[in-house]
Amino acid sequence: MRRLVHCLPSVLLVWNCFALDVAKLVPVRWPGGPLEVTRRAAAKADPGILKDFYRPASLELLRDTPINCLLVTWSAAGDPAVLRAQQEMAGAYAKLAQQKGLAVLGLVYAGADPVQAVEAAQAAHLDGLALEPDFADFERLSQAVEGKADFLLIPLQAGGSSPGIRVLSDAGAAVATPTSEPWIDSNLWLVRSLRAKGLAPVWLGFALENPSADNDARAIADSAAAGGRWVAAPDDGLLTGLSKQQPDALAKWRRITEALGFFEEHAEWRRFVATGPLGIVRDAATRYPDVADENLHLIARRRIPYRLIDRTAVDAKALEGLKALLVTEISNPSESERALWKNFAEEGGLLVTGPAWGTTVPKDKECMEQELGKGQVVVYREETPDPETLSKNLLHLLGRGNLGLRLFNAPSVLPYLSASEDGKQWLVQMINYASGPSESITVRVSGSYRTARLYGLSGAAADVPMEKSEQGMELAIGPIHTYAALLLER
Amino acid sequence: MCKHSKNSITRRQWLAASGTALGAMAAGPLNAFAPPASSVSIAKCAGYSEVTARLAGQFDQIGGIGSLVRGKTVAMKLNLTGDGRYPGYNQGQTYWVHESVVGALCHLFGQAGARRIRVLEGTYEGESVEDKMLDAGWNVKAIRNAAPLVEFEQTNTLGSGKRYSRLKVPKPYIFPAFDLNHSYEDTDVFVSVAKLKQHEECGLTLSIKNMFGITPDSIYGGDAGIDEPNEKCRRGREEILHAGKRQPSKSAPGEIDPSSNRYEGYRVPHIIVDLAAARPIDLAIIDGVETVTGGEGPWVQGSKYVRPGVMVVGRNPVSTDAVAAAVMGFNPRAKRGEGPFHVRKTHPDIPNDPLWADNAMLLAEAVGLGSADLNRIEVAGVPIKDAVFDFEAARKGKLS
Repeated sequence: MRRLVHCLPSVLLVWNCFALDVAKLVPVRWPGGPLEVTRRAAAKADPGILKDFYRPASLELLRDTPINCLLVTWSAAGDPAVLRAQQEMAGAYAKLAQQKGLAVLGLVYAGADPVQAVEAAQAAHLDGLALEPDFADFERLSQAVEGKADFLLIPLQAGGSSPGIRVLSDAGAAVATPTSEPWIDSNLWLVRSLRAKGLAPVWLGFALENPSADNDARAIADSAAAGGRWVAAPDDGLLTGLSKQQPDALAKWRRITEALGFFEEHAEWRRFVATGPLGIVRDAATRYPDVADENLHLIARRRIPYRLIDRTAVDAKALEGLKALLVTEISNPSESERALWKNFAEEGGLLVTGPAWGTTVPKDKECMEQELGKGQVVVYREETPDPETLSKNLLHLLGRGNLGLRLFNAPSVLPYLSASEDGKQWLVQMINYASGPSESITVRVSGSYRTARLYGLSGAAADVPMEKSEQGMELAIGPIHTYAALLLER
Repeated sequence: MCKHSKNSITRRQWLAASGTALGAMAAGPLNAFAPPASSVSIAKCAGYSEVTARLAGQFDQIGGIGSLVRGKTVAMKLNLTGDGRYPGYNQGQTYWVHESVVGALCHLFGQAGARRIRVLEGTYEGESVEDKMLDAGWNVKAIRNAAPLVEFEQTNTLGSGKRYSRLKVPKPYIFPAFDLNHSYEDTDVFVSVAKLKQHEECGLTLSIKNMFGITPDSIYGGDAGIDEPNEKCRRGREEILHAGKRQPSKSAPGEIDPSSNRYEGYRVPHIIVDLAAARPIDLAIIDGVETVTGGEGPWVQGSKYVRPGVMVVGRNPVSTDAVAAAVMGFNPRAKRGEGPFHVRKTHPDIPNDPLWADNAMLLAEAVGLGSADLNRIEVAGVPIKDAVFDFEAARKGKLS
């Protein structure tokens, strides 16, 4: 029996699942039926295709795709008669889908009656429920599922956003500076943060602002690179086009499913572990979770490869290979923690800490730098240093030459660096957040490698020549359209 | 160190000679001195693919560069200011000099017999010049291979030198001397490679303004050491040079009069002239093939890409800048607050800042660095009237 335990805002949900390997589910939002039509009408949107979508023909759209899990419209607040009709239609459709080997989860919107949703889903033999990010009635939900085996509950995570670039000069009052870079909206950090908190699987539930083949592929890659999933959501226009077999729609659908398929073909990459010169110690009990998350967000934007280390897992071995350790989340270090940090700095590391370190930082200074043994300690005056300043300082203190990975000529690209457990393979995943292709990029990695292979979401992988430089190996790769991955073998 | 041909003059000799001349000038009224005027070449250049040919022709038009660079060390200070991009364009197409210009210059200097070429720029946070270029998509290898010996040095700190070089200002406005990275002293020929641009605080940024970036942040940056240079500096020059809120590290000469006007529209033009006097420019190159109007970089709101399609080259930086200003549609003799020196600021944090800047060309002319008088400057190649690209009209979208 596989037990997945997931901590949600007010309740522990226990999922018992015998039949499904949740990690292998490739979900897609698959809306339809009278309840969806009612919801769209209330939002003054044209229900269009959705009214009759739950027919066998729509399942044909999934043929030869990696999608194996449908999120069907199941429950929302509203007219009980509509709800009954919805569940009757969706339940029948689910049966057909399951006969084709697909898992089906009922999508539960905010305001839905969770008890009714669970009972109806079980009666219809759905595989479980997926909860929209704004669903909040966890208390009644947990009571409803108590003791129920073989029933999945997967919360779609809030906090994600459409990956892309915002140009500051277009943002009205926002002013760029001589060293500014484009503002990239990415969910890489969010997926990493959620995974580090023990959440599995991580399914992001945001809606894309501007669905398109590129934007959908980018959203898929942005989450999948870090081991999560954005729940693909074909819009009404696409579903309509697909139902009419329109070439544009079919091409877009192919791009989306190709992107989903790529990450299934390389599922082993999900087991790779993040690597980098910076260790960030996380405290599940931090009083400032938002600040902690913003640190991850902005450090990722600075392209500093980092490892997340849970406070309870910090020991000398966990710190091996790190050049810097960020412990500002820890406001109450124990003696053993302090000793470990101190030793890290004395041995040549850079320790970045807060007032808990005990050094008094003058009021007119943000932080103080102190030599300690062969290393350095940077003490911030405030318990929650400004994340923008902190990330900028980290980059400076570490030095660009010590990052282990640098991308050149890639202002619209964010990388995610990970390694196989045996350390023999390094994986540099790169997501281009610009609406067009990047320019040609040079990748510099520390260390020495035997081979380098470049992967894209489509097409065959290709070997990339490497050139040795003073700082490591340099690889000139062409423009990245949406996503590329470099697999380096030692 | 460098070897010199019999007829050549070393940088030290040049400095000594300049100092003598300027010292003599200082004894009499400024207007009694006729500042040097030399020919300036303008070339139309439709794209960077033809820039090598255009520059070669322009060098011929100003008397050739063979005698200037043969057997010498040539240092080029590039304008690679700031970071970021205008959407859809790279840095070289907009607010940095273009890599093709740098490659062409290395090639032409090498071809003319330069023994060594040093590519210089101050970069933030210890970034190497090569990495800064690489990050803008430049082909650094091609530049390195464009001449027999091309070196790069970032000059915001001590760099590869063992000490800072103190270069004196013969007739100073604000600083009597500057402590600079050794590369600005250890060269025979100094080239300012600038972009044809407006500037938010100074009105224009051409070959003289490009000198602002030769000052090391370790001494002139906001986190410069109080007593000694801070080799781990990470802040720019706003606090010390722009606003004069504090003095540079005590190891370097301070201002002549720390109670003088602190307004950056006054200070920066005077300081860049001091710098151009301390480190004389032997050759001024201004890249106006593609550039921006309305400001010096993407951080200036309202600035935008334009394509004037022009290169301006001259031996005298004041004259070269004057011709370049005229090509931009401005009067190079405009006074403080007039023409391009009525500046347009977009800093929301300084709402009541004055909107004027001093004309650095006139300040330079006044201390004998060169003539900004178009009547005295021989223009070779394309006449100014045929090369004019009206920057203000382009900024306002009024250019057809």
